[in-house]
Order: sequence, then C-alpha cells, then structure tokens
Amino acid sequence: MDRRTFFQKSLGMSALLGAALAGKHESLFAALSSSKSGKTVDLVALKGGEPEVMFRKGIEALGGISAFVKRGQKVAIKPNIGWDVLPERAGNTNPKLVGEIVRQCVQAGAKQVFVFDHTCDNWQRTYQNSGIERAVKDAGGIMVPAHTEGYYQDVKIPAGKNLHDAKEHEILLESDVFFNVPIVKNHSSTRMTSAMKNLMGNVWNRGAWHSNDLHQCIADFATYRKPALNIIDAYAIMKSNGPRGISQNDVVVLKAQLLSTDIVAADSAAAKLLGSDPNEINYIRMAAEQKTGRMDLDHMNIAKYSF
Amino acid sequence: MRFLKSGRVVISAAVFVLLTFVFLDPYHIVPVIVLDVLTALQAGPSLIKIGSGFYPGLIVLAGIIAVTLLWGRIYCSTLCPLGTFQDIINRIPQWISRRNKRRFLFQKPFAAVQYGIAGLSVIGVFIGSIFLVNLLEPFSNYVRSINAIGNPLIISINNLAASTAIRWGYFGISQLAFRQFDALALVMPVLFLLFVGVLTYKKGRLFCTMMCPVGGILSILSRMSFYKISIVPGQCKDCGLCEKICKARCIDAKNHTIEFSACIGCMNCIDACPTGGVQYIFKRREQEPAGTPQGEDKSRRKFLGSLALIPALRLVDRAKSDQTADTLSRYAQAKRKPIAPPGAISTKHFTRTCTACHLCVSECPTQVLYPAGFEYGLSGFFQPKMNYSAAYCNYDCTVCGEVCPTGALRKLEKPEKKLTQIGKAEFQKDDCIVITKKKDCGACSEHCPTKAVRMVPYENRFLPEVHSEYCIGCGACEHACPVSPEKAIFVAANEFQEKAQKPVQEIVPKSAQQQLQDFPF
Repeated sequence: MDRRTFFQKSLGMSALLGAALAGKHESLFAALSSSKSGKTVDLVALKGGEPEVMFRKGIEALGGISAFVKRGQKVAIKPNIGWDVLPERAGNTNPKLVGEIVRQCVQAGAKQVFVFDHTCDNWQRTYQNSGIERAVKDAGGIMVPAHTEGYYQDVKIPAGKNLHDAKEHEILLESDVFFNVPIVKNHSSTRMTSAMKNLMGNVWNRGAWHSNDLHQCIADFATYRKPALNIIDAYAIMKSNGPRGISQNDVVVLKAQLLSTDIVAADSAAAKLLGSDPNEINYIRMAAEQKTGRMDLDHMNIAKYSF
Repeated sequence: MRFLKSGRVVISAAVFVLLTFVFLDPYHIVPVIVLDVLTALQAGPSLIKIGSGFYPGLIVLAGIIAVTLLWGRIYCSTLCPLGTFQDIINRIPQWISRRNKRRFLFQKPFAAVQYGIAGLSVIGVFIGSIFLVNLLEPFSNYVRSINAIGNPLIISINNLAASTAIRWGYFGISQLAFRQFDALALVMPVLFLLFVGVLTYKKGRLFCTMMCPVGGILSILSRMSFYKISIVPGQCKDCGLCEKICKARCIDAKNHTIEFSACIGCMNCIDACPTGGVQYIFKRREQEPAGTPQGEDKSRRKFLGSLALIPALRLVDRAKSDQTADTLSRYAQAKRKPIAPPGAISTKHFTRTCTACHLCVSECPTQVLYPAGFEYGLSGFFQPKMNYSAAYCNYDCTVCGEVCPTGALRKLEKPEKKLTQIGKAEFQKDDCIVITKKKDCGACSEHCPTKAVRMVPYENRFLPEVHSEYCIGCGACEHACPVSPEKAIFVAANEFQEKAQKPVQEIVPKSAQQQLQDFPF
C-alpha cells in the first residue's frame, strides 16, 4: 500500500464511520423526542414563529426530516398553489415554508425533490406569483408542471364509496415520499380547505368530484395514499371569501403551524384554528367514520410549542 | 444601386422572421413593447387605429405614407409579411434548380378592381363593415394563418420534447395545452395561404396588385410619388431583363414604360439592369403613354360602379340571424351572443375595428380567447371571443388590450380591468347539482375572483347566489361548473361593456387580527 491509497482508504473509512455515527445519533434523537412523554406524538402544533422556524422545530419533534426522507429517495411535495395571488393574500401555501421543507429534504440526501399543484388559475402565473417557484428553485427543488392531462395516470381507489378511480399526477407514482403541505383557508364549497381538500390538486378530473358529492369524494381520496406527513401552514389564514379571497382584508395573521401523519387529525385541528367545529365539516366527519384517521383531539398526544 | 435591393431583402426578412416567430412562439418570450413596435410597422392595423385617437405608432404610419409619397409602394416589399411570403414562394423554384428562374411578362394592372376593393374597404370601415379588410388585409391574414397552422405543430414538437426530457429526469420543458380544435379555424387559413401561394406561382404578386386593400391605398398614393422607377431611354439596350424579373408584372420593356402604381418597390429591376437603365427618377406626374386617358376613364367608371356594392356590404354585415328562438334554453340563447374580450368597449366597436389578426389569441396566457365562427355576423368572422369551455379570463391579466394593433381592444390598466364587466353571470338554479343531486358543490363560487357568486345556506347545504353588480364576466364560474352539456351558471354577453361595482368586504375586526393566544385544542 502506497501513501496515496492509504490516504484514500482512510478517508473513505472515516467518512463511512462518520455517516454511521450521524445516523445513529439521529435515530437516538428521534427516540428521545418521542419518548419524552412516553408515547408517540399524534400532532405537533406551533405558534408565534416564522414559518421556516416553526417547521424546523416541528419536524425535530417528529424525529427530524431523516425519519421521513432517506438518502437517494425521491420526494414529492404538494403545497396549495391554486391561485394567481401574491403571498400576502394567503391564497397559497407560504413560500418560505415550502422552501424550508425542500431545503431539508435536499440536506437529508433526497435524490430529487418535486413540487407541483394542479392549479385553478393559469399555472405559469400561479407558480410564479405565489412565490413558490422561486423558493423551490432556490432551495434546490424541481417545479413540476401539472396543467395538462398528459401528466396524469389512472389510479383505483379501492376503499372509495363514491370515488372509485381518479387521474393522479405521475410524479406521485414515481416518488418514494409524499408531503402534503396545505394552507388553512375558508372555502365557499366545503367551509374549509386544508390537508384533505389539498389532495384535490393531485388529480386531473376534479369536476367529477364536484358532481358526485364533493365531501364524500374528498374523504374517499384520503383513503388512497396516506401522505408521509401533513404540514399545515396557518401562518396567515384566509378567514372569509375563500378559497381565492378578494383582498388582504380576508387575511388574519395567526402565525401557527400544524404537523401530523394523521390527515384527519391535522384537518380537525386546522378547523379549530379557523374557528370552525370539525364535526360541521362533512368530509372530516366522513373520513373519521371511514377510519382514515382520528378527530378526537382531546385524546391525542399533542406536542405544543410557542415562540 | 445594388444596396437598394439587398437592403430591401434584409429588412423584409427581419420583419417576416420576427412576425412569424411572435405568432408561433408558445412561450411568449417576446416582450409586449417589441410586439407593439412590430405591429406599429403594419399599415393595415394602424390605419384602423387612427379611429381610436393619437398614439405613438401613428408616427410610423405617417412615415410609411411619406415614404410612399416619395418612392412608391416600398412598404409592400419590406414591411408586409404577406409580400415576403409571396417572394419566398416565388423563390422556391429557383432554389430547387437554377434553371427554374421565374420569367414574368407585362400585364396591364387591374387598377379598377384594386381601387374598387380599397375604396369599398375604406367605406366599409366607415359604415361599420370590416368584411373586406378582414378577408383581404395582408398582415392580419398572414399572421392569423401562420398562427392557426403553426401553433399545433409547434406544440406537438414541444410536447414530444417535454415527454422525452421527463424520461431523462429533466423538467425544464413543460407540456403545452393544445388550443381547442375547430375545423373552420384551421381550414380557412390553409385555404388562404394555398390561394395566395398558387396565385403567386401562377401570376406573380397579383394579390398585391389586384386584391390587397392596403396595396390599393398605397397604390393611389404612389401615383403621386415624387420619385418613380423609370426606364432611362438613352441607357436602355432593350434586353427586357427588367420585365422578366418583375414579380408585379408592371414593366413594359418594349414600350419603355413602368406602371408605377402597380410597382411593389422590390428594386429587382434596378438590380437586374446591366446598364443602369432602370432608375428612380424625379417625376411628380406620371407621363401617360398615348391611349391611356381612355383606359383611365374606364377604370374610373368601373371604380364608381363598384360603389354600387356598398349595399351588398351592408347586407353581408346584417346576415347574422337576429331572431332568438323562444324554444331555446336560456343557456343556448346566451351562448348565441359571443362575448368580446375586455377593453372592447362594445360588441359593435369591437366588430367594426378588429381585423382578426389573432395577436391577442396567440398571446392570451389562459387561451380563453378563441376565433369566432360567424357568431359576430358574417363580417366578423374569426374575430376573437371568450371561450369559457376552454378556460377563463385571468383576473390580473391585461395582455390582450396591450397587444391589440387596431385599437379594437383598448389598453386597460389592472384596476380598470378588474372592474370591466364584459358580461354577467346567470344562475339556473334548477340545473345546479345542489338542487338536482342534493349535494354540496360550489365550484363556481370557489373560482369567482370578486365573490359575485356566493354560497348561501339552502336546506342543509349551500347554494350559489349571483350578485351581478360585482360580476365582471370572466367566466371562471362557467368554466368550473361541472354540469354538462349546458352549464348551470354561465356568462351572458354585455352589448356594451360596463363598470362593475368594487367588491364589498367586511373588514376583519382588529381583535381577530391578533396572534393566537392559546391553541383551541
């Protein structure tokens, strides 16, 4: 062994050792955080911080991003990018939050991080004016278009009552990890849009949901693929005239955020933040009845953080 | 004097390539200001735009008129894209083989026909029929055709590239949506380009010297040109090269005369003459060769005769069926009246000033603009209308008015656009899903940017309610409505575009503006 190979080998060895140690450390940390109260955390609720600061704390409470994203995996992130409005109108998920999630996924070694939405308004204007395109690109993610039927593939929803099939964006079928990143808003059709309603942007043929009992279809689609994590942006929330809003007068700055692997629990808490009773939002109740998740917030282990 | 022809070729190629690119470019990378400059160079639309008052582009039009008064119809061989299109057709045989060089023979110009068409076009615009302009104006016809034919081709190529790129993990190219297919909107442009192409192949630039209304107007001006291309008697060796090369077929080499009113200013003759015998000569009045006064008289008579066609023009304009069948549903009745884009002022103003160049159709980011068939009447064929089955008008977008070269669409500032009511939403309760299926829907209200469509409690659900004073007719509700084929909510056109009321809003009380004190769970 000459000096050169010695150096190369020892460098490789120490890198390996370092990686192993780091991995161990993270799992140790995850164990610590969930054992703090003796049982797993059902819901993380945060308030008072900036979106990216709250996310850092929230994901840490759930064991860190590496508990969800493994090296070399493909990640799909679905924020709400529905409307051609500026970030201060709170019509779309906060770009700072989306940017931070992408950044952490990239740092965790994700192979590719995709961000998309089947927008309502013109997709190019919406991607751009929401501020999300810029934030995602700066953080090293990829904005994926979703505006033509060619991007979607037929999927079956075996547990659906009304909704038995849908055309789902192909990037979801390709990705290993799926993060659902909605914003809480008042909604003229369904009273509230948040985590479950956000999944409507995963599919092409939304019109069919509207004509086939919207609430039941939303609940049905939630049975299809459980997001790895639901991260609900409640930094600024639209209290009236949703989902598009008329002006900034519709917006209240709440500075909150919710994280949960249980989409029904996340929506139930979001409803309360919006000032509604989750029981009055039909699709939440339906999803709970279909055992997609829980809505009994009182019996959950909720980790709360204030800044 | 060689630079005259080569200069002409460079300018015409630049204008042609740029205009063609703009109308094919699906990404809209050319900024609006460049579009405005490019279209200001076009005499047809600019002449129409005179009617909407002064604008900077008028200086360009004045320049075109001045150049014509000095040197004749140079416009036709430099700025006109249809002229360059014909020049390319003329060149094709020669590109295939040197021996295929075109040979033209002098032909007495069809002045009466051309002036008849030009006169009727101008009178038509004044009395409110844009039929002839729409049918024959060279800029609008060329760009509209190239857009209709080229757009689907470009999108196909793009989408093929996009799907290949994605397979390799590259997401930089996105799929593009095809414009809704309409046979008429594709067949007519193909026929037009075919017609002009065959005509050029058979007869040179006969379209320009016989049918073109812009050419007709410039031709009248060119009769008064200070400088005219002429054969200098002493220097001519009677080789006849100038006649053979003249695409406009206006050179009579045998008699040493040039019909300058039919000359399209391509300078090929000046370039071709081996002895420098064809030159621009100061010649305020055309020297009439013997025998023409009689011919002049005849053409004048023919021209006056063509004015008898004016009533026919009116008839063409009225040809749209005005009767509304009572048996039709309210939806079908509303859909018979096309909705003009924002900034049109009124359907009447729009249909009288739009030459259907489709620049707005091409630039519209949502592709809600779509060429009408004959909904605006026979005279308004292909003028754009709002097509809410394809998309809806973006609330913050003002592109169509910014690019319109004829003034048919006024440029609207954003706040004005957001209150410009082009139609009103109508709600047919009995067709709504909330009533027919007894289920919540609300897609219409969801998409409404002004909340003119609101959801109000109805039994244990929510039912749409339209407050048309806030409605701007953008069509978001109609587009989103899942009821088919006849939508439960739809926009009916405003004959005159009105001003909607500013959306009213409850201001969220200060107390609610405060940050969260405690989690409500």
